[in-house]
Amino acid sequence: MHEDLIQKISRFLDDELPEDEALSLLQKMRIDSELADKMRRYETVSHAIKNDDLLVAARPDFVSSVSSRIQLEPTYLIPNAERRWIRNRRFTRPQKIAAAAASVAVIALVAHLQRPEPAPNQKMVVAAIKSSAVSTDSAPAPKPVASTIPRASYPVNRQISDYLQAHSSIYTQGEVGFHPYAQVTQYSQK
Amino acid sequence: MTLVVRFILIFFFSTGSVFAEDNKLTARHILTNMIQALRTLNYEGTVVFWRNGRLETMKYFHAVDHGKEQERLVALNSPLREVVRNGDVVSCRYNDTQGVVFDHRPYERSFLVNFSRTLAELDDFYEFSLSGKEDVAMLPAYVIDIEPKDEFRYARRIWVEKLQFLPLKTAVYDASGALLEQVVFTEQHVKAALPFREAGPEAGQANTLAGQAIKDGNTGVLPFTVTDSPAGFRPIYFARKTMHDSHLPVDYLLMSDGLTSISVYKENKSPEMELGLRSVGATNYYSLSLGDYQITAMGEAPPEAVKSIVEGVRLNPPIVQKLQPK
Repeated sequence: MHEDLIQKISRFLDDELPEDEALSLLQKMRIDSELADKMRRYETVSHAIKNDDLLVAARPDFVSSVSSRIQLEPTYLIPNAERRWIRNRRFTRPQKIAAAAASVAVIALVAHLQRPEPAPNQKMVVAAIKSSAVSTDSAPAPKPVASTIPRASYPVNRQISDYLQAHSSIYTQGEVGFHPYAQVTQYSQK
Repeated sequence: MTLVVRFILIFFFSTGSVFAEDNKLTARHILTNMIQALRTLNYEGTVVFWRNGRLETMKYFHAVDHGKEQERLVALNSPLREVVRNGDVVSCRYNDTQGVVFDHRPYERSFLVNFSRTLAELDDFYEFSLSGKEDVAMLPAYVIDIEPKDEFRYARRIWVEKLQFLPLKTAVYDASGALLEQVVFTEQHVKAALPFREAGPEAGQANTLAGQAIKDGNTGVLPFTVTDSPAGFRPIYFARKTMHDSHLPVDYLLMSDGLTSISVYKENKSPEMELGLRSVGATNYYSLSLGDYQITAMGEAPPEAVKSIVEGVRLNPPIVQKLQPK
């Protein structure tokens, strides 16, 4: 489409085109559908710019028309000149060796990095299989030594909470009812 | 052509030497480096303690200057408090009351991992092995398994960061292989320097209340001794404490094999005290009655260990009787 026609459409929409030229443009649109489409698009854009709050409703066939336009787009391939260069290029022997060496090196590195981590030793695997306890760790627990005494948890009383805190600094944490450090008094050995 | 050959040789030799160096590290090397790093580096991070089914998230700081260390734990959840280790003294300041409590703990080295002896001294009781490599807090780490050689100790696993050799995670497993407790860093940063928190007046006060460190198992005359304790457990500290808002003293003896610690308490009989075996998370305790006293052994150790120790307690005659003329 000629640039001057586009200019005229723009001026027409801005109400800047002289009357005779406007009539001429409208007559051309009657016979030129492409020009009419261009006019509609410009009009829509102009309207949207001038009215921020206006929502432009898409036509029902908007999506299908966009799809069909995309289908009609030509496929751009590599220019023949470049394809010819790729086909005809020749590698020297050192270049081929270097490429092969680099490939081997990369393969070796990838293979080394992807090798499995050292597996837990056999004793630990056996211990983990034997153990039916649920552990939150994905890896098997270190080898346990079987205990014959059952453990039972009970609410701790004041005495035990004091013992716990004297036993480990960590038990100064916010256990409800836990008292802070027991103070140490002098033990004098006589 | 020569250039290509050189490239291949350099590539394979360099990568080979790096992997070989990585593979040469043993669990022992890594743990030795970790013990050193724990004491000599300035580092901070966020650490989560999971014990007894409870999660506790705290900010952790370790500062060192001219061989002087300070460890700090700042609670992120209620009750807000700060636990500070200055040498042998550990203090805890509570935000709501501004109250400070303290204790003398010359036997503890770290809030995170507490190796009190060299690894060589632990050889008779534990096996160390490098079991793999994992990422913790997005940092690559060696996974070290510490397996007990008898039923008197728990198995442990430590994840040690590959570059700085700081522990990123520790876990304790019970005899069935179930996870008992974990300490995990969610982030960790090594710094050139970290500020020291000024020690309060309680530090000096705590030192005046110090107990008695026991060296080389030489206990001297204590109110009680432990006979036939499991192999490796030696007395390392004794103190007479006041507890439960009572003025009656509690005799406290700490025994350790270098990694596992068991506390033994002796105090007057109490009607509230339940005898037998109990547990709190990874900690087992066993109480029995002995004469007019009640003896309790407590530690992050299997029931066999605490039971064996408490049953080995023998009361010594009061010191004053020894001093009386015949």
